[in-house]
Amino acid sequence: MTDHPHDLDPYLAQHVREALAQDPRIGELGVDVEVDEDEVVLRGGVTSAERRAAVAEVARDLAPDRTIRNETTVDTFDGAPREEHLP
Amino acid sequence: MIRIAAMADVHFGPDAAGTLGPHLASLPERADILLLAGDLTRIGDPAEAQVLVEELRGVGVPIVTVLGNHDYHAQRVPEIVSTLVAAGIDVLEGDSITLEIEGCRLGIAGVKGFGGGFVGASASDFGEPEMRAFVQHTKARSARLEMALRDLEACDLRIALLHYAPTPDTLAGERAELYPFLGSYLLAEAIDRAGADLALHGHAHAGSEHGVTAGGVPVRNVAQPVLRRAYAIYCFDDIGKSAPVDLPSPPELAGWRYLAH
Ligand SMILES: [Fe+2]
Ligand SMILES: [Fe+2]
Repeated sequence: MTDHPHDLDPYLAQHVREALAQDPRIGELGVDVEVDEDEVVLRGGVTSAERRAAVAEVARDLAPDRTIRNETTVDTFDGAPREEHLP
Repeated sequence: MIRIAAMADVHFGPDAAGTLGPHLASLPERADILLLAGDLTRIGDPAEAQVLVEELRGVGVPIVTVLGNHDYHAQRVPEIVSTLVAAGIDVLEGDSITLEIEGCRLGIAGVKGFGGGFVGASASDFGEPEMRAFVQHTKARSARLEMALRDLEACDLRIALLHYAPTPDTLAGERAELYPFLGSYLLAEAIDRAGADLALHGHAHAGSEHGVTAGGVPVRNVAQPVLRRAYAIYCFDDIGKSAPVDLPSPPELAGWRYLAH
């Protein structure tokens, strides 16, 4: 018997990743998901604040007993474009 | 001089409306053409393509694109293509387009491409039909890319526009286990055999911008998360026709049939 009932699904991280790809609000393949006994940590860049919020919601649905740490960021590409000269 | 603006992986949707347009305002002063290397939408919904089209409407230069895997997800590719074409955007898949810019003939050959991996760690056209179909899709798209590039032999400048990566160089930063899903050496081989001045791709969001094929063709990963900019600009100051790289024809590639041992 284990003292950590949250450990029952060793595949949880991958289930969250798959759900992030399938959820029509998100469709992200690039979010990093790390799961331990108490937490789900989400990392990576997403396109909008709405998608960022939905990412946390999906993780919460699949891991209701864990704390969700949403460290994803909304990508912004504000710098001036770089110019490269090719031969 | 021809100046090519390029970007990929905007993954657009209604929630991104208004985020791209402002970055493109100065594009016509900086570049002669805009190339999009796929993953235009989040899940391949034509409504997402429509939002992107509105965002691109003000860009005063020709726009040419290929689609990416995300654009296929909803299985509504014909509607996505019509949405783009109605807005004057050229969509390539296994074919090419020639434009006259500053008195030069610029040729663009476009194909989505597919995965399979790279020299030394690559899937083979062998075994179950599902595995063979995977590799055969890459072979077929690569063969089309080669044909499309060969159609451009009279051009002054030839660009190969892909979504998947032709080289592992531009994947540096991605987990090595993912490489077979990010691109294929067959795409680079097609480019080297037909010749090109530049190959552009996206898809590998955690990859790197710069690479080169074995035959010496520069490769650039223009995924926005890689560039950390809305787009990149590649300038060709002295345009000269590139000669096809003289590669031997390996027997397993003749007619794109491969018999695994
Ligand atoms: Fe992408
Ligand atoms: Fe992609």
